[in-house]
Amino acid sequence: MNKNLQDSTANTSARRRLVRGAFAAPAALTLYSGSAFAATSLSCVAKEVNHPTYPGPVTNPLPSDTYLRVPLYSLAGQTAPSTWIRGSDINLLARQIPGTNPPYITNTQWQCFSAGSSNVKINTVTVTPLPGTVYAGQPSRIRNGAPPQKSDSYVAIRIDNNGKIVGVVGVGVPNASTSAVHQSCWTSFKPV
Amino acid sequence: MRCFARVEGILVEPVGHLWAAFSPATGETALLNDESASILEVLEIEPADTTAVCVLLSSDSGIAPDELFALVDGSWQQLTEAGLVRELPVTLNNPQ
Repeated sequence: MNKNLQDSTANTSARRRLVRGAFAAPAALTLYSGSAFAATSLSCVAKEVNHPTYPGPVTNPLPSDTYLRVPLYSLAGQTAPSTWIRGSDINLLARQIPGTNPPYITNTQWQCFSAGSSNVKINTVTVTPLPGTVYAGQPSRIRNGAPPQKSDSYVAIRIDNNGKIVGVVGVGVPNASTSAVHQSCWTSFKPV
Repeated sequence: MRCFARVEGILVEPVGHLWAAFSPATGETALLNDESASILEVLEIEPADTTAVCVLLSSDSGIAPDELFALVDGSWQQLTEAGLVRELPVTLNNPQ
């Protein structure tokens, strides 16, 4: 084995790769085997991309646009919890698209997907969440400071034909008539 | 304070700017950023609670532990779901 390669591998440490003065939200995205994914989600999305349903107020969608999903987070405990999209999830996807431009949201930002019925705190400031708005920090419950929890719902993010993630479209719950992909397709996304 | 341990037998390898982590508990591989992989490295030393993890990561990132707390505390759910960490059925007593 090449000695330099061996040494490089042996010395690799995630902690050493941390950039001083910056710490993004830890992220973990589960990968599925290529064959299984191709047989279900990917082929399903490919078919949908050929005949996409454009939900909501999407500006200038193009047939060449592609959709992927990211999880929704909700502030559990609220009567009607607000739901959120984590910037680090979108940036992690963006880093897997070679040559892509930075997405519309940064690692530390959160975007409100639905407002819910309660105000939230962001960086110690109380705010009334507005759907679509990108906020500069993680939302939390006012009462006890609890952070958002990952829900079992997803939203589709739109990637334009330049490979740039340009926004969120549709509600990722099955049966949602506004979803970017059909119910059967969302079902195939679910973990086995 | 809840205490977490790294799941035995997981494999973590660098893949470009990210990390691939295989969990024998789930049979799945997860893609991690440096922050998640760093948490696993800290837990490789010994099980720890959120505060202890933040103290060690603070020395790496130069950011105060209390500023890291919410981020690290919010990561346990997804790392647990990915089969990479597990919550121990005991709590640590922080010497204050």
